Amino acid sequence: MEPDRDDDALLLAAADDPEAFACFYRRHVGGVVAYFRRRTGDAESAADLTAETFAAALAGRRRYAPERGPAVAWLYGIARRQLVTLQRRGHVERRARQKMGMARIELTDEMLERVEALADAASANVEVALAELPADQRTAVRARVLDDYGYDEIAAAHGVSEPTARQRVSRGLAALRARLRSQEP
Amino acid sequence: MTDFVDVLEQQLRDAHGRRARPVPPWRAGIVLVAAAAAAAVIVALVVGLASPRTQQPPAQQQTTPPVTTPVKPVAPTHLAILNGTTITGLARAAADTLVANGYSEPNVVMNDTTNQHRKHSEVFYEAGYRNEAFSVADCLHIRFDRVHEMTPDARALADRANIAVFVGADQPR
Repeated sequence: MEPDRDDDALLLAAADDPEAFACFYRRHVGGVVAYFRRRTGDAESAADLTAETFAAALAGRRRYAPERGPAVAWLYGIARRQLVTLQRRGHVERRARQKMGMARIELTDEMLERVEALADAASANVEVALAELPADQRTAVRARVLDDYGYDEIAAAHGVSEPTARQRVSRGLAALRARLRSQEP
Repeated sequence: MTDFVDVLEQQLRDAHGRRARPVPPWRAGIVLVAAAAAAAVIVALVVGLASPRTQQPPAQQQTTPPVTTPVKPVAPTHLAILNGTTITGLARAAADTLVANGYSEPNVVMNDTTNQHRKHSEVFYEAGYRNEAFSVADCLHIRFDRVHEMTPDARALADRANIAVFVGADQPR
C-alpha cells in the first residue's frame, strides 16, 4: 500500500506506473466487489463485473481528469455502466478485458467463497465508516460517488454553494479513507 | 490458495504495459460507416433516455439522521408497499425499514389482492425515478434485476406512488 498518496495522485501516476495502478486496485477491489455483490446478489457475477470494471479502468486510465471529480467516483462510474450493460444485455460485458488481452478468470468454489468473504468484509467496513461521518458529508459522498449526482445537483438539493458541496464530498472521502485505513489489519 | 483478487491483480499488472488491441484493418471501413449511422442513433437515444437524475434532483437533507444504513433518498419519492404474500406484516416491515433509512412514510401500505403468492420482491418505478428505485431496492436487499419500469398492473395498485414495492416471501418477517 502507499498510504501517503491519495487516489487521484495514484490514478494519475498509474498512466505509466503499474505499481500505482495495482495500489489503486488493491484499495478499491473490496468495495467494488461488495457493490456488485449487493446489486446482483451473486458472487460470480460480482467477480466478473469487478474484473471488467478494472480492465476498463486500466484501459481508460489516461482519460481520468481529477478536475472532473474524485478518482473513486470515476471508478464507480465505470462500475455503474457495467451494471447497466448487464441489465440491458443479460450478460457481463467482456470488451475491456478482450481489448487489454485479459482472459476471463474461471472461478472455483474456493475463489467464490473468498469473493463472498471479501464482499461481506468490505461492505461492513464501508457501512461502519460511512455511518461515522457527519450527516452532511455522508449524504454528499453517497450522492456523488454511489448515485452519480453532479456537484451542482447536490448543492441545489442541500441549499449550499457548489464549492461547499465539493468540499463536503472531498472531506467525506478523506475521512472515509482514513477510517477504512485504520480498520486495516 | 488461489485468490480471485490476486489473479486479477496479476492480469492487470501484465496488461498494464500492453497497448489496447487495434481494430483489424478489414474492419476499419465497416467501423467508419457504422459510426456515422450509430451517431444518429446515439443522439436519438441520448435525447430519448434523458437521465432520471437530471429530472429528479436530490431531496433536501433531513434533520433527523437515519437510524441504520445511512442510505438517503435523493428525490421526493412517493412510495407504495404492497404485500404479495399471505404473511401478515411483511409490507409494514418493509415500510419501516425504508422509513428507518430516511424515506417518508409510504403513501400506500396494503395487500396486493391480485397476487398473494409472490416468492420474490420487485420494485416498479415511474420514469424519472430509476435511481431512487435502485436505492429502495438496495435498502430492502432486492436484486437489481427485479427493478422494473412501472407497468399498468403495478400502476393500478400503486395509486399515485412513483415507486411501488411488491413484497415477496423473500423479505424478512
